[in-house]
Amino acid sequence: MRTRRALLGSALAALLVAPATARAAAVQRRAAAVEVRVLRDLIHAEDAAAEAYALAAQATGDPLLARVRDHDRLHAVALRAQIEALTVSVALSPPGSAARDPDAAPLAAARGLAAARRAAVVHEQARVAALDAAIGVLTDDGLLQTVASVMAAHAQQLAAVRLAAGRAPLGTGAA
Amino acid sequence: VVAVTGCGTRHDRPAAVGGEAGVLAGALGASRALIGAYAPVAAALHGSRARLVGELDARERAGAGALAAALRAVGRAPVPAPAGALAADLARARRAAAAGDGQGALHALADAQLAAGWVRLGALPLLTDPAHRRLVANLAAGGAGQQTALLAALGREPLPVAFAGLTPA
Repeated sequence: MRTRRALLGSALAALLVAPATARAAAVQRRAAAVEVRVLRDLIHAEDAAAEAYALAAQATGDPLLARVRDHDRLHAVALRAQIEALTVSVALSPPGSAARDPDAAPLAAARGLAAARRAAVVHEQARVAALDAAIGVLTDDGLLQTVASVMAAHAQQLAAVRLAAGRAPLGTGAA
Repeated sequence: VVAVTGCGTRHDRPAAVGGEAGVLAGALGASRALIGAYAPVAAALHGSRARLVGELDARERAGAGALAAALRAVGRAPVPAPAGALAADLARARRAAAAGDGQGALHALADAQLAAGWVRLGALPLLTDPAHRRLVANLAAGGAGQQTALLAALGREPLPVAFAGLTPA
């Protein structure tokens, strides 16, 4: 049989532990909300990128731009799978999303192969920077790896479009 | 390079053997191994290809310097030599370079960049410091861009697969 002192001790311990547990849960909820917001932004950006490359590829007939369009569509699919694993769904961006995205709009509006490739370089630099920033706030292991692989893909795309634009493949940054 | 001691969940990150320092040391080992292969490969090349490999060497040295500084800041850990695909690809690059086969050495270096990407991607979830995660992710991205530069120098498709070949399981 438990003594009154033991019962009081248990109750006191519960009172001390409960706020700490609640605080930890609140911190986890906030972290998860931040991750969802970051992931949603990345998905919309990949949608906009894919549409911008589709428009640029259609306008120029450049197979490289079409290839990047296909890869960006796959990035959006992979990121959607990640957010759905968090029981959140993100609808496909409506047509015109590229024109509304400040990073993708110049590529979507580019006319002529040289202009499109120059715009693609600037666009890829922005994508790498955005993904780098996202890595700093993500905590989920699978998310981290998926976003890092998308960032690596954009670093490759940056090198490829730099070359296509007549520049050295590697810029001054890490990627 | 790193070992996992448990099954992680969203908020239960697995601990790496050697902790944060051990994971950084593993990533540093991959960078040092790449650096060790660049000079012999560059010696087997001429012109723009030799200059490209020299540039990759300088970039890898900068990345290794950043990793070494991060490692010093968190503690000490032995820097392991890489194993698996990265070690095999780099050995192939050295053999090709020693035989005067610059083309073969470049192909092997491109493969080694992909293998190094896998090492870095594997290290990422084992790191706890966001700054370290960004550092390693940037090295993975930089390596992917360098792989594209190598593929283009070889006249190969610069974007052969999506996700830089680093699709997580």
